[in-house]
Amino acid sequence: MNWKMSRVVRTVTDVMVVPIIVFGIYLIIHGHLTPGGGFQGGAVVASSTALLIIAYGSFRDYKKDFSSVESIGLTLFIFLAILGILLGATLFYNFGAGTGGLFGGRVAEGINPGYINTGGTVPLMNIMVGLEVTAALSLILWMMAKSSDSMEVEA
Amino acid sequence: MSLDLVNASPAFILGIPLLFAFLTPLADRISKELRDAVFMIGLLLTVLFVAVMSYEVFTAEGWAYVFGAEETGEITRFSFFRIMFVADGFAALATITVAITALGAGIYSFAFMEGQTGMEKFYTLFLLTLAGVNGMILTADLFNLFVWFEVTSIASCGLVAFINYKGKSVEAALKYMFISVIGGLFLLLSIGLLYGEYGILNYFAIAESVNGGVVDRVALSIILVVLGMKASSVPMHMWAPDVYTESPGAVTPFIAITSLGSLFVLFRILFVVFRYSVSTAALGGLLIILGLLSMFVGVSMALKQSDVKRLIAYLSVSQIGYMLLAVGVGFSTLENGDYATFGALALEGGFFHMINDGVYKALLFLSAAAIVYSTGTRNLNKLGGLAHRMPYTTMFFLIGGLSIAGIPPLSGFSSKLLIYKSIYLYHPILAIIALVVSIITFALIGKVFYNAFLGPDLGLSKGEVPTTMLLAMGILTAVVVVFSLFPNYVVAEIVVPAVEALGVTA
Repeated sequence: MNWKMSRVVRTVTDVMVVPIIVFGIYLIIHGHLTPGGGFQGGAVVASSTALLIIAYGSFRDYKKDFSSVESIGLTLFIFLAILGILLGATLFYNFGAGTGGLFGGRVAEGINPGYINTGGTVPLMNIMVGLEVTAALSLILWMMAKSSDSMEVEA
Repeated sequence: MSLDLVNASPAFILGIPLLFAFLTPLADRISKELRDAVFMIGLLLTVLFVAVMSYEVFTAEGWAYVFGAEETGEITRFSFFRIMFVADGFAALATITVAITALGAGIYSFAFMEGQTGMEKFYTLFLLTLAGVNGMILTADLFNLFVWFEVTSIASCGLVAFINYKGKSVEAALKYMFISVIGGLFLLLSIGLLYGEYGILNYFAIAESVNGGVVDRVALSIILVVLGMKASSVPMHMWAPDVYTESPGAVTPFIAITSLGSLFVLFRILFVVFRYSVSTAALGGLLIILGLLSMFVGVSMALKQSDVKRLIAYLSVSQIGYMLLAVGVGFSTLENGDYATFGALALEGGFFHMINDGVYKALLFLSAAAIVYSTGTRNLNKLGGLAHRMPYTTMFFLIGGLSIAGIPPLSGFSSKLLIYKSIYLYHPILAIIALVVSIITFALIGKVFYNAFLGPDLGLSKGEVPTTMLLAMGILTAVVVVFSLFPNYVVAEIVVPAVEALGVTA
C-alpha cells in the first residue's frame, strides 16, 4: 500500500489524531460514570486508525500486532472475571470496589458529579474491552484497506 | 469469603473455555505445539469441571450460582436480578452430553485439521462454541440465554465455513447464519415481551407471576419456534442437512450438539417457566406433532440420499423427533394425572435418548468423516470395501449405527424401549410410528454399512485413519458401550435426577 493523500489532508490528520485518541481514552476510562465505555471508546480510538490509513496508507503488516493486543485484552478481561472466584467470591465479583486501591474509592452518596476513582473492577474491564475493540476494529480497517489495494495483493 | 471450587464449577465450565479460547491465539505466536497443548488443557479442564459439578449434583444436591455475588451459595431476594446459573440434575445431564462430544470432536480435530492454516482461530471458535452451549444450558436468565444463543450461533457459523471448497461450506454457513440471526432477534423480541410484562428476567421469578395471557402465549410461541429451529425440528429443519454435510468432519458432531443444547433449553423453559400457565396437554400435543413430523420426514428424506454425511444428517433430524415425542407425551400428562402411570417413564426415556443420541450421533459423524478423510469422497455409490483397510472405523461405525437403529444390546435400544413403553400407553399409534421409523433407520444403516464397508476392496482407501482420530472415536464408542451395558445405572444415576430437577412430581 503506497498511496498518499494531499498535504492538507495529512496535516489535518496530524492535528486531529491526538485529540481523537484522547477523546477515545476519555470515553473508555469514564465508562462507569458517563455514557460510553470500552466499546464506544475503542471504536473512537480505532477511527484514528482509519484516518491514518486513509491519509498516509500503511506500510507495515500490523496484522499480528493488532490480533495480539486483541487476544491480550480479552484474556485479561476473562482473567479479571475469574479472579473473582479465586479471591473467594463468584465470577465477575467486583473485588476492587471500596478497597481504596486503583479505582477503589467509595462512591459518594447523594447528587455528585461522579468521581473517576471509583468502580472497582468495572473501569478495569472497560479498559480491557477498549483494548480489544481498538485492536479488532483497527485490524478490520487494515484488512479492508489492504484488500482494496489492488496494486499489491499479498497472500 | 472462601475459595470453593465445587460451588464455582458452573462458572468454571463457562469461564475456562472462554479464557483458553483467547489464550490460543497468543500461544500460537510461540509455537504450534503450545497452541495445541493450550487447547487440549482448556478442553480437559472444562470436562473436569463438568465432572466435578455433576458428581456434586448426583451425590449431594443442586445449587444456584449467582454471578457477582459476594457470598457463594447464598440466595437472597436480589439474586434474581443478577445473572443466575443453575447446577441441577438437568444441567448435569446436558453438560455431560456436551462434554463427551466436545472431547471426542476436540481430540479428533488434531489429525483431521492437520495442514490447515489459521488453526488458532479454529480452536478459538471451537472453545467459544463450547462456552456458548454450556452457557445456554446453565443459565437461568432469559437475556443471558439470548447472549449465549448468539455466541453459539456466530462461533459455530465460523466453524461450519472453516474449510471452504468451491464455496459450498460458505453457502451452508450463510444459510445457518441468516436463520440463526433472525431466530436470535425474534428470541430477543419474545424476551422483551416477557420483560415488559413482568420486569424481571430470571426463569424462576417469571414462573411465579406468569399468567398465560396473550402476550405470554406470543412469547412462548416465538421461543418454541426459535429453539425448535435451532434444534432442527422438522418444519424448521432446512438448514440442518446442509450445515451437517458441509461443515468440517471434526466439528460436525459439535454443530449437532448445539442443536441438542437448544432442545435442552427449550425443555427447561417449558417445564420451569410455562408449566403452570398453559394447558400442558395442548402444548404437549404440539410437541408430539413436531416430534412425529421430525421422525417421519427426517427418515424419509434420508432414504433417497447417496451422500453419507447428508444421510446421517437426516437421521439426526429424525432422532430429534424421538426426544420431542417422548418429552411431549411426558409434558402432556402433567395436568391429567397420568404422570405417575407413564409420564415419568416418557420423560426418562426422552432424556436418556438425548444423552445417548448426543454420543452415538457424534460417533457416526466422526466415522463418516473418517471415510471422507481416507477416501476423499462422500458418495455412497462410489464407496465400497472399506472394511478391508479400515477395520477399526468399520467397528466404530457399526456400534454407532446399531445404536441409532435401536438394536437390543446397545444404548439406543434402552432409551427407545422406554419411549415405546410409555407412548404406547398414551396412544398406541404413536408407538407404532416410532417403531416403523426405527426399522427404516435400521435399513438405512444397513445400506450405508453395506455400500461403504462391505464388498471387495476397491482400493479407494488410503488406509486406517491416524491414531488420534481412532482414539476420539474409541472414547465415544466406550461411552456407548458403557451406556449399553449399564442402562439401569445410567437411568437411575443421571436421568432420574434430571427429571426430578425440572420440578415434576407425581
